[in-house]
Amino acid sequence: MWNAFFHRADYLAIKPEVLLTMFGLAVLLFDFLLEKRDKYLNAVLALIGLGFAALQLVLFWPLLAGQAAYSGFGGTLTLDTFAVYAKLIIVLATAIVVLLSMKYLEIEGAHYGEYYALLLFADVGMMFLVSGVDLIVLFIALELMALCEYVLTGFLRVNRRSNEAAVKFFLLGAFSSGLLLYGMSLLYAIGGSTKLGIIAERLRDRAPSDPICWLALITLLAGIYFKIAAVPFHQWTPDVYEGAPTSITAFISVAPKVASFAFFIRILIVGLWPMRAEWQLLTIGVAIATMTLGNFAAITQTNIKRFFGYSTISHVGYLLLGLVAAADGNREGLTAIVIYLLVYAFMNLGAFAVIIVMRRKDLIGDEIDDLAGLMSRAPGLAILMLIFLLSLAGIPPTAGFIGKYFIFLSLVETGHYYLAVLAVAYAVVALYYYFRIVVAMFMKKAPDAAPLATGPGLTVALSATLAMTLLIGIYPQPFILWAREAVRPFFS
Amino acid sequence: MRGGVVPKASGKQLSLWEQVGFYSSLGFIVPAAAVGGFALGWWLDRWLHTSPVLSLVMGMVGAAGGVVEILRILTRAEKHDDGNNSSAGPDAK
Repeated sequence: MWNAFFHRADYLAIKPEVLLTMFGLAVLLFDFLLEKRDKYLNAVLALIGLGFAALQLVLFWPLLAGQAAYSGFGGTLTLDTFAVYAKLIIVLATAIVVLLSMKYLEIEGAHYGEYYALLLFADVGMMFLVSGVDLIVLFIALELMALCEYVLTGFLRVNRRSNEAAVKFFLLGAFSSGLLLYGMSLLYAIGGSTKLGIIAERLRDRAPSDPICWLALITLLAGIYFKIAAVPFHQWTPDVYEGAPTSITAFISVAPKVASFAFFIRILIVGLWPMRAEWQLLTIGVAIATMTLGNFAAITQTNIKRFFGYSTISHVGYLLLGLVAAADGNREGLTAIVIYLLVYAFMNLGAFAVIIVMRRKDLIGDEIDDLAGLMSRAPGLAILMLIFLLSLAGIPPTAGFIGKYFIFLSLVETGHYYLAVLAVAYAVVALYYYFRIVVAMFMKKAPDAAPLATGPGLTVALSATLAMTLLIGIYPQPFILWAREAVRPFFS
Repeated sequence: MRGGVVPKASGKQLSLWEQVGFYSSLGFIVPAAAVGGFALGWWLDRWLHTSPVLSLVMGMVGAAGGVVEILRILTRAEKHDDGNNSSAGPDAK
């Protein structure tokens, strides 16, 4: 079975992806055997698959920590601590989304096996995206992720808003992929190879003022900025967040962000390192614009999903600041990004879990006013939401503070004081708009006393996200050490 | 977008050949805007000796302009679609 092109080690490197693919296919088949009342078993099967993948990733860690990265499939894939760290966040985030989805899909009357299969296939795309060091692998992985996202966005087939969001997402996504592909083809023309390492070597040999290099950089970055929802390529975000099923909004806001940022870091730090002065310049401008628009546009939103769309945009701005510091060779800049991604995954999914609890058959529950009087109706839930919002705003001792602290630290260490001051100022703006929700929950009167959507899946998801949001905030040391180990491959 | 009909800004419908031309041009909008912006920036950089700032910034602004234009076309098509389905039907939520 093993030959010159496919070794046992190659198989081991993609074992988590293979597991998820098998479980995704199993869900599709298993779905046919299930009665309507037993559809939750699809979610259980998906969770088992995600559990096996997570276990395999955890087992990889001691083999790779402090060691050289494993390079597989003729140098097109790499398995290092960075890839394992990002994949683990993606798998855990997807597991939480599966838990959130069980009750939500039941309420929406759309509990089909394809949903969970698509989530697992999207994960496979994301996992290859964080491991890929070859332009072709990266593009295929990106498209696998994106195609599953488009279908999941339009999953509520009878809901017009869901369909419109999917069409808009698909068309704009297709154009951005085209732009990305232009950039990749220009990089191939420059490097004579699709491998990032070889492209970086060829870029070093070229004159820094070569306009072809700049054009490749612009088209590539524009495509990636679209994927991560950075300004001025963010327009799709609020519309898609609003129209997509809430559980998918939670998924899109977290897992693909982690994968896209990992891909972005790999391209910039490995492939485009010789052009770091140029991409740093662009990233500074885009980060400022992203933080500004995200924070100020969130203030005026009344729909909570659009609100979180703009909140996500502002968080992307903070993440980009970590890249600005990393361009100066600052290790803490990348450490800040990977910690921020971990923290953001749990606090954002926690907030979305509360929104899903608000969803009832007769009430969409996605207006900020729908949270009015939550403290009097369900005090425990209101306090949970308060903790997630404080974390999103970056208030200690929550996890969000640790993420923001490392971003500010990296900016100060690299002498970008004006960016650090701006980032702190926008954190104050963020506190204001997150507190709009707190005011609605604690100060306003409840419109009705109808029961909220609850279930074992939602309870586990809320408990897990709360535990991580508090644990990372109160005892961050092990998470910081893991994050430092995750970025080591870029600096060794 | 239903039926593949995109109206002109004036509200007048496009003929079949106009639609073919229109849809064929969509794929070129974003890259053409990016390359156009970049070319303008490069020329300005040479003139003002600011290389590579304006090339990079104008290229990015051009690409963003292309995306905004696509979004504008989509929004117009959606509005047109809503107009054709003003009775909304059972699937409207």
